[in-house]
Amino acid sequence: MSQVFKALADPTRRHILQLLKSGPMNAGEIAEHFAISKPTLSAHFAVLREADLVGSEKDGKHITYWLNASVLEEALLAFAGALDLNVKAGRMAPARKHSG
Amino acid sequence: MDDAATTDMTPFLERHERRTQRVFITMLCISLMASAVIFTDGLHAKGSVQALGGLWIPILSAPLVIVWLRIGPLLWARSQPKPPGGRFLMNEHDARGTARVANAGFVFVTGVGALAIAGQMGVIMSSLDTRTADWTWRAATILMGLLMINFGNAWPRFPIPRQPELRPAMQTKYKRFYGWLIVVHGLLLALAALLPRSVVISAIVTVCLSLAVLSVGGLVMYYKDLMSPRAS
Repeated sequence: MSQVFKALADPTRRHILQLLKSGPMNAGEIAEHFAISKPTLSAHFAVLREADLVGSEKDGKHITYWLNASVLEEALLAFAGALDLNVKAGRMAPARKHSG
Repeated sequence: MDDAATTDMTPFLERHERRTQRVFITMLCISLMASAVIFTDGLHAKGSVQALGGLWIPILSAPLVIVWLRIGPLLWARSQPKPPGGRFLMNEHDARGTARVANAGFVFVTGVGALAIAGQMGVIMSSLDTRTADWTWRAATILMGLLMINFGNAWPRFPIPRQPELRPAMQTKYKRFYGWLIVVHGLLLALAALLPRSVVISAIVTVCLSLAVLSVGGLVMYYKDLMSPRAS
C-alpha cells in the first residue's frame, strides 16, 4: 500500500492515471501531455507499474499502458487530486505544475 | 520490466473452476437439506402444503440464489471471447488482475451463498427472540454489503482486451462503472442496515432497486456502444 501512496503523491503520476481513465494509451500519446523528458516519464511509469496502478504491454516499438487501479485506489487518486497533494521527503507541500 | 513474459493462467482457472464447483455442490446440498427441514417442520406445524405461506420464501429462495450464483458467472464466462488455442496466456499484470478478480468473486459467491443458508438456519432455529433476530439479519445485510465492496473493488482490475476492434477505451469505461456501482451500493447497503427499524426495509429495498436499475441500464448502454459503428 505504501507504493500506492508513493505513486499517488506525485501530480505527474496522478495526471497519467487520469489520462488512462479514458482507456489504454501508448507511451507516445501520454508523453504528448507532458513537457518532460522521456527518461523522467519512464521513471514515473516504473513507479506506477511497481504500485500495480497501471498495466503495460510491449507491442513492437510501442508500450501500451492501461489503468489497473481498484476502486479504492481510484478513490485515493481522486482524494489526492482534490487535496492537490505533493508529498515529498515525508512532508506535504503544494503541488507544482506537471514539469516532472 | 517484463512486458513480453506471459503466464499461462489456464491451470489457475481450472483449479478455480473445480474449487467453485465443489463449494457450489456443498452449499446447494446444505441448502436443499435445510429447505427439506423447513418444509417438513412447516407441514407438521401447519397441517397442509397450502398453509405454508411465507415459508416458501426460505424454502425456495436460498437454493435458487445459490444456483444463480453458479449459473450467472458461467453465462458471463460464455459471453467472453475465447482465447486462441484455449490457453489463457497473459502478461503479468493481466494474470495478477485475473487472479484477484477470480478470488474476490469466489469470496463473494461463497459469502452470499453462506448468508442464504444462514437465513434458512435462522428460520429453522426460530426460537431467537425478536431483538436477536433483528440484529442477526442486520449483521447479514452488513456482511453482504462488505462482500459487495470487496468484489466491486477488485472488478476494475479484470483484464480488458487491447485489440482496437474490441474497443478497449469503452471496455475500460464500463469496467470502472461497474466497479464503482457495486462498491457504492455495497456501502449504501451496509449503512442502510444500521438505520432505525421504521425505515430500514424501505432503505434496503431502495438500494437493491437502484443497483438493479443501474446494472440493467449500464448493460443496455454497453451493448448499444458495442453495436454502434463509431470507433473507440
